[in-house]
Amino acid sequence: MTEKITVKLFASLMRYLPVNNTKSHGFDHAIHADTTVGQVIDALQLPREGLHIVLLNGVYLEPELRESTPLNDADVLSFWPAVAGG
Amino acid sequence: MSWTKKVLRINLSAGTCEAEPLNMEWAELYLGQRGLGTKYLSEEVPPTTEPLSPENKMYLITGPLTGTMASTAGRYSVVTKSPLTGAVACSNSGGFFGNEMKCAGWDMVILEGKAASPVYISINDDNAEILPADDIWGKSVWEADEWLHSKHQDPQLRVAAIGVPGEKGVLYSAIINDLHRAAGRSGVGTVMGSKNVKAVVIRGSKGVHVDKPKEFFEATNAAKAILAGNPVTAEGMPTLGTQVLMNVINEMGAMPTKNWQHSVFEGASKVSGEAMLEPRESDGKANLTRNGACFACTIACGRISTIDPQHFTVKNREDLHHSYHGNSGGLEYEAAWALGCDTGIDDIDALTYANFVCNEQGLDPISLGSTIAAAMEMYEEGIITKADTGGIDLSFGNVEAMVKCTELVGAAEGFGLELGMGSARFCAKYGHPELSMTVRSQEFPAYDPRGIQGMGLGFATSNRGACHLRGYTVASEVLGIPIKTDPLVTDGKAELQIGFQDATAAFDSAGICIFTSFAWTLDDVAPQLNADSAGEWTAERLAEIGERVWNLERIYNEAAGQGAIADKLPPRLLNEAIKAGPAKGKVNGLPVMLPEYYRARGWTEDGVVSEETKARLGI
Repeated sequence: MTEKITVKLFASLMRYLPVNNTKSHGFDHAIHADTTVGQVIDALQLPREGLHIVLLNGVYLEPELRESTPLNDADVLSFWPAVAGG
Repeated sequence: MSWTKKVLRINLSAGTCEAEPLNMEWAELYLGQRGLGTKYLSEEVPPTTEPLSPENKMYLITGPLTGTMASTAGRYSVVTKSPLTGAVACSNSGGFFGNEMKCAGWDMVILEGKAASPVYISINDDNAEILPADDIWGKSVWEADEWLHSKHQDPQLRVAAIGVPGEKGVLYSAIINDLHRAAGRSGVGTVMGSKNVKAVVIRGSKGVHVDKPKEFFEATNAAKAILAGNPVTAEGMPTLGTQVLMNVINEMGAMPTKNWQHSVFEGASKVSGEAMLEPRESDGKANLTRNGACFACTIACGRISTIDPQHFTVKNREDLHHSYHGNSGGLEYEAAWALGCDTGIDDIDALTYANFVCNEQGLDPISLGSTIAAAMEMYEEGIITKADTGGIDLSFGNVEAMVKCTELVGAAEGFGLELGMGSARFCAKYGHPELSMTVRSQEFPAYDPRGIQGMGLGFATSNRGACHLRGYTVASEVLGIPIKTDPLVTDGKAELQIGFQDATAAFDSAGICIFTSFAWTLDDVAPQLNADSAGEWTAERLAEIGERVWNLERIYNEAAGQGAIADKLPPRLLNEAIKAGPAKGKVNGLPVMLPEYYRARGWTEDGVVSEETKARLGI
């Protein structure tokens, strides 16, 4: 069964948003039952070296867990480059 | 030698301006800016001094790197005793004022006493005068700035001024320099107003001398290369400014919303840094026109913005200063949060307008927005009514109400004077002090410590009252700088917070911007100071200076009644769990972290700086 997650891209990663999606950070992305975060990164052709903060449902995903962590239907996967403020 | 070794002491009661040597023994121990200013305060102003009395003093002070070609070296600090907190105040500003003071030949300008009538201070190299300010008393910062530039016929004159709220005792009045850079927190502008001083204007032509020019050139170039090679300081901050945080903090569920009742704000993305880049419908322009830099800065995180000309705040408003219809200082994350998320408002043009008012009139937008938010909760709970607000419907999300309140505080009129007390006094007045989201009566910045545990400890122990700029463990807990730690646990946060607090105190005493610390460590600062100033400066020595500064501030606060007794968080953060989002179910673990913190600091278990620690640090 095909499921879908929401992918959100922020800051300079917005350049990887789908065409016609430039006014919103989030878009739907279809997955299969065993799809991992690493496979989503590949499918969207995101630059691994530029993915500094990765949140899965708002919780930080450690770099060593990113390739193998499986996704579930309706998950929210958010990406940032290295950013800071204050 | 990067210190000029000269202090300008201005006694407003006596009408005198006198030069005196800088105490170099203290400079060796406390460096400059925040540290050295606090040393002077602690020696000259008894901790029990009434902040708005003539006995309080103000120290406008640079650091040894201020005015040099080191990146971000335009900083100066205003040190005084705060009328908002009753604790030590130190507000740090960029722009072009600090370097001008140094170029005029002064490390520090001290304001003491009180003028009999409104005055401003004019400094042109060695010449300092106290001049009448009757023509600009009652005017905004922006109006005063124009008048002063016109009077002195010098476009390069640097102006630091207060607005109407500072004259009339609004307790979170800021000193604004260069139109939109602020010594923003703790009411340092209120102290200036209490002395009948409207502005300090400076013109310097002497230049700045460094100890070892060739080494300095090499050291500062190497440090700039680090900033240029770091994705945060080279790309993130210039592109999106501090506002890049809006979506990060909201997505992780640590966004204080509606006076901290909630921790996720639905409208956050509409007022984010990314949203500031989106073209609007009316004129096709984005909110952000360009980024901007302070003196010598190679990061350039500043925001220069416009308000949508069709927005109700500016449309057909010929009464407004012309800057409201053009480019001026735009939203920082803290301002967008306090005026927006905390009040439930997602109208980016209204927030930009309110931010412009804060710049024009000299207000701390964090304290302003937070006080409005507290008042909104009290209004929705029926604790205050339209009879108290002057007829304003203070419901969360009411854009017109937030704008009206901002204008009233900016004018220091009517209900604005009530809000001008700050949320601690406002909530206490109406019998609900627990609704004030403050520590030491200063309003929180934009990080919910139930979702970012270390910040709870940082807020509770911050010497100038709740603040993010005293120990920014968000960098580690959220952003992974220098290493990523888990924001939801308390383990190790005491040591983490102490490390950030001490390093920050060293950065704040050197004459450079704390934002360099996203890329630099003290190991990168030390070579610059070494070439800049005679003596041996190492990262270890700078860390010790930071620790010494922190402890000196604490000792001052203890004697001012703002020591351990004030290391508290509001009950909401300790007892009310986060309702939804990734941090759901969490409260802040301050009761666990605080004893660890006292121990690691070398203080008594009651949170008092021990005699051993004083002796070790030479205090």
